[in-house]
Amino acid sequence: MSKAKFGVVVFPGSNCDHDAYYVLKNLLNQDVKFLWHKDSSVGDRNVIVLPGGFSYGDYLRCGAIARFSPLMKDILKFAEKGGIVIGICNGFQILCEAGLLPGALLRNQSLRFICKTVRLKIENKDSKFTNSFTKDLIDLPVAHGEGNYYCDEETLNELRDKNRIVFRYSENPNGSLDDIAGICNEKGNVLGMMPHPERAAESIIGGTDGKFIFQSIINSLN
Amino acid sequence: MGYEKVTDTRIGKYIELMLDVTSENEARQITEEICRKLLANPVMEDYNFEIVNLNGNVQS
Repeated sequence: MSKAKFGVVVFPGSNCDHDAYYVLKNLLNQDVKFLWHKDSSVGDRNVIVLPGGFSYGDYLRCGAIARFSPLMKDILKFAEKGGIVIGICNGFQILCEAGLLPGALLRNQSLRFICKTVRLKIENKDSKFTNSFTKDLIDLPVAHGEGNYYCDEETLNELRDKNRIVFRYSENPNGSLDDIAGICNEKGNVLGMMPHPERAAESIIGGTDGKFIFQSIINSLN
Repeated sequence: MGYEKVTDTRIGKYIELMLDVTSENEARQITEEICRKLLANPVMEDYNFEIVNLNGNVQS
């Protein structure tokens, strides 16, 4: 199996970039590089990770400023050509702001930051991001103030009909529409999810379910 | 608190932009574009704006 070339994007305020790098490099033995948000090209990378955090301090709206980073222009082109992009938490918010995924992430219904492990249902096990799971229910941590997914009814119907809802919460923590925790684009090469797989990839820190998401990406490239 | 005449309320963002332009039309065009591209996310937000002519009295 050849190594995937992951690029983990670093925005000012990203704080899960090193976690993602560590999982990909140390646990999965992949070729990983950080990409600075001011870079102009993704270079030879074949998977892009938009990590969690608080890019640009969440000013204006979460992800609203990061989408204008110079590198995002090339990531849009990369995604259009079918390149794999995974946006986690703030990365999901950036993908929505950038228009690579539909909808938006609103304030949690409780108006409070939520930080806990949640149970997720894998709704689509054929995706590039879930093909290595053998079970239907997984546990991953969430840590967000704005994870309440919203889109209009037409978009929701499309997400349902085209099997684009990849993860649903078993118990909705944030008011998210239709219990949505993660969705993909129509071609299936761009995933956005609020839970953090990079924080649950080895048993010593509480779980390994997250590792299978990255493993699935690697499988889909081989 | 007894303010029974209040029938509705909303909280939003209020943003002021200073523009160095020569016509209201130009100001309107630029503001509209900035609102659409950055300041508002039309998936979840509405926006409207007013143009106020400062007649060059404001100096930075």
